[in-house]
Amino acid sequence: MSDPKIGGAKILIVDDEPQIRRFLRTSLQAHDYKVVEAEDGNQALRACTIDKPDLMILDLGLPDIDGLDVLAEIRGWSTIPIIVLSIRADESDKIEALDRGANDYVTKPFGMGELLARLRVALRRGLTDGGDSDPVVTAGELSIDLSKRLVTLEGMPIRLSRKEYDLLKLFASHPDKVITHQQLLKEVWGPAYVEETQYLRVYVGQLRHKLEKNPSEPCYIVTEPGVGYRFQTS
Amino acid sequence: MIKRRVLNALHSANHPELYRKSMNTKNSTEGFEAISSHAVSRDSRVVAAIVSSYDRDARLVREAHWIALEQNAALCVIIVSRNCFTFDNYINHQADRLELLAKSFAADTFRVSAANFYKALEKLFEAQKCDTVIVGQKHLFPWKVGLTNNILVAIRNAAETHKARVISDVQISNTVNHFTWRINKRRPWFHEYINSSVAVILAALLVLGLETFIPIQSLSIIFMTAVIYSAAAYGFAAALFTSIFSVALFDFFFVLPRWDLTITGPSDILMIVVFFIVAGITSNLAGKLRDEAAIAERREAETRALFQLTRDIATASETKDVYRAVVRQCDNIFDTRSILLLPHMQSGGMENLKVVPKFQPENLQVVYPKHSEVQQEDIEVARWAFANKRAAGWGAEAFGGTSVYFQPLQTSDDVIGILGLRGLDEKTIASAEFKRIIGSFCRLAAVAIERASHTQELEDARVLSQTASFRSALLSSISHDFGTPLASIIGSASSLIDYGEKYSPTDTHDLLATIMEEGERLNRFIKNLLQMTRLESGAIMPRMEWADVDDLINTALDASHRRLVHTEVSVDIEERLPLVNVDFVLMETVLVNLLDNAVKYSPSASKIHIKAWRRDSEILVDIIDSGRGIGAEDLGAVFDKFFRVKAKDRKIAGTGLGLAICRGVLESHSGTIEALSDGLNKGTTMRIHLPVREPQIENME
Repeated sequence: MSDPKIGGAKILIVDDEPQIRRFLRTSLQAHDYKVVEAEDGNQALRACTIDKPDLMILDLGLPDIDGLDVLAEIRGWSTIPIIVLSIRADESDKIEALDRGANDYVTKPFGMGELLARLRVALRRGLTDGGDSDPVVTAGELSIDLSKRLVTLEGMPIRLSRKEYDLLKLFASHPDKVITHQQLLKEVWGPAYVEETQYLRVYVGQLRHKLEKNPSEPCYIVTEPGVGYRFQTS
Repeated sequence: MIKRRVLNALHSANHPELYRKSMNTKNSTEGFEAISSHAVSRDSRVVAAIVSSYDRDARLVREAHWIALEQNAALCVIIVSRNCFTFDNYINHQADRLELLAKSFAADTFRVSAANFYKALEKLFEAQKCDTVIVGQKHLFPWKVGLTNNILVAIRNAAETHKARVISDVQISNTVNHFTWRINKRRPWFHEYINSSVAVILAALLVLGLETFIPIQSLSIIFMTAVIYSAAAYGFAAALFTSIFSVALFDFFFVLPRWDLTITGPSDILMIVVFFIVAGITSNLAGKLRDEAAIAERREAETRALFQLTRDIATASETKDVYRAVVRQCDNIFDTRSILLLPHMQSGGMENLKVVPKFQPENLQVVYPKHSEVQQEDIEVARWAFANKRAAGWGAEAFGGTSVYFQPLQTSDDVIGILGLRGLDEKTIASAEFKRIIGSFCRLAAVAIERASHTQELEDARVLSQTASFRSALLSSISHDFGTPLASIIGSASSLIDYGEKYSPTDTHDLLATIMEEGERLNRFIKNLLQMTRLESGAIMPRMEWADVDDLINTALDASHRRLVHTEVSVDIEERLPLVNVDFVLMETVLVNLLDNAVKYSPSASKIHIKAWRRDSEILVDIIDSGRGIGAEDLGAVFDKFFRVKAKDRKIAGTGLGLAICRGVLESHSGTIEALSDGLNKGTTMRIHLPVREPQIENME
């Protein structure tokens, strides 16, 4: 909130329900965001090129084009952060959206606080993406120095196996972002292993044992049920 | 190839030493060794036919094939070759033919020599589950009368120790060489004699006319025509009579001395003898012809019936029609009253898919004709036939004491049901003819019934999957319709709670208004759902009262004024419209729903026109919008429950219940509702029809 750039960002709301647009607009404007609206996929694509928003909130159930297709279309020429809104509790939709390049998703109904938090994370990353990223990622007491391959917890170095480190590195390079099981498996183990979710369960469990104070209530590597994991920095 | 033939020949002719020389390794008893080593199929039962390589045994193989089919058993044909050097080639040729024939029935064939026959027999019973042996009694080794009986006795004994049965008197349908005494037995006997006499008298008159021109000895030939005629038409008995009568007439009237019956000289005797011979040959030929014609006619009738069955089945669309076709054609062919028994399947779509208990004999019950009277013990026999895959009941070998003959309906894999035939005579059932026809008939019927039930299952599965996909579409639609207002409410409320101090009074009001409106929307959905449920379950009883159409329309407009903010509504009500007898609240719901739809499917700031008028004995209320209209194909369907869901129309929030409720309400008012539209984007007119009933004014005063 302290970052002025985040405060004044221009946000494109894409949703066919006028009521949703209305309360989002009211709330976001009150938080000093500029708001642009679109009620279907074609308007969204147009607004995206003309208004050049800093972030897009995209509902998946659109009347003309499927939200997932809009997502893929935009990702073809833009890296704008996109947060997907979905009424569908269907996990496969969320995974599909993330695979097609969404930065995050929020399931309807949601609290305004949650949306604003995700919004800030996505905007911050959108701003830092361009420049050199910091080789040291910190989250609470945990610090990961990507250049030195050094992981410390409360200043004490932690010994990790190669795969554990690879996994943690992947998490650390996408802070606060959901990473799907498939993405994790593909990056760390290889494309042949995308169905072997049990590997993930084992290694995430090991990481949690080494990093978390209470592995059954993790605060660094958080489970996103049915979708993947999120590395939480705050 | 030739070498093989020679080897075979050597083998069959039982030249062990020669055979051994040529083969070196193999034993001459290979033929029956094979019986034990070659397991036909140890689980299924076996019918064995023992035939000699003799011409007529081809027929025995065919009969055995039918018997095996009837009993659902594998067929094993044992060809016994005899020791006869002179006819080796001929015998082997016959044996080859038999083997080919047997193979064409998918039978296993074994050749054994007569000398090895007893050993082969032992093997047959030991190695195979052979429970029926078929032997042609008369034709097995006919040149050794004494031995034939010995062999039969041997087979009988062997069969007895292995609890198999022997069929030795197989009826081979034989139409050759029977003497035709009378050809047509249905006519009264004197008929043919009168006709024959007339023929003879005509011949005599002809002779009388020609006598003056032609010598009398040559004219005797004319009487021959009468003999041939009666032999061909009536058979040997009538021909004999005609011969004697002709000779007598000829003798009496034409041979000198006339008016005298004494046989004079060898010419008369020759004439009688020739007449008799001609009578015999002609009647025999005619009889054969007649028989063959009769057989051809019967076959044609059967073929026609089978064809009819195929046609009926092909046109039958439902399993029930197939059942009917089968039973009706069975009645036609066999002149019987038949019943169809199938394993019971639960009626109703989903239960049908449970395949497991389908083929239990205890589930067998009469499916057609539905209400035929069948004794419980008959059903038990049918179940036995079903379980054992064999014919049973009246005229069959098993359970002959019952009144119904039961024939299993056999497909390639399994018995799928039982056909019961009542009122047949025992002789018919025993005949090979019957077995052949009932065999083909039942196989055809079985395939048809199986196909029909598969079609039915497929249809059920399709309906089931359609229902499932409809349900999931409905679920996602409802979750969308409830989720969207909830998302707005929770979002706005959380926003106010967490960041209330940041908002200006206008923002706060805006968020609160969102909560209010979305709450109302949710309420509408829930009310619609509840109302639909109550309408369907009959919980809503319309409370009829007399109402003014004007009043109704105004109340409805009032109730939906929020929705109509951006819409211009014009109302046109015909003057002196009679009162309508309606449930005011329900009818208001109808109008509100229709107005809601009109707004929903029109661009904002469009016009809605309401018109109420009288036509004949109806009051019509039209709600006319200029919105997106309805395609002609959907005009009727829009009133179906969840039509929107089916149409995958998710652009505009709604449960797809509004119009269904309207129709339900109007039906309870003896009214109707219809949708009129000129097509897409040409607006829609929703027209309510209410019957005019004059209120009884005098009661009011």
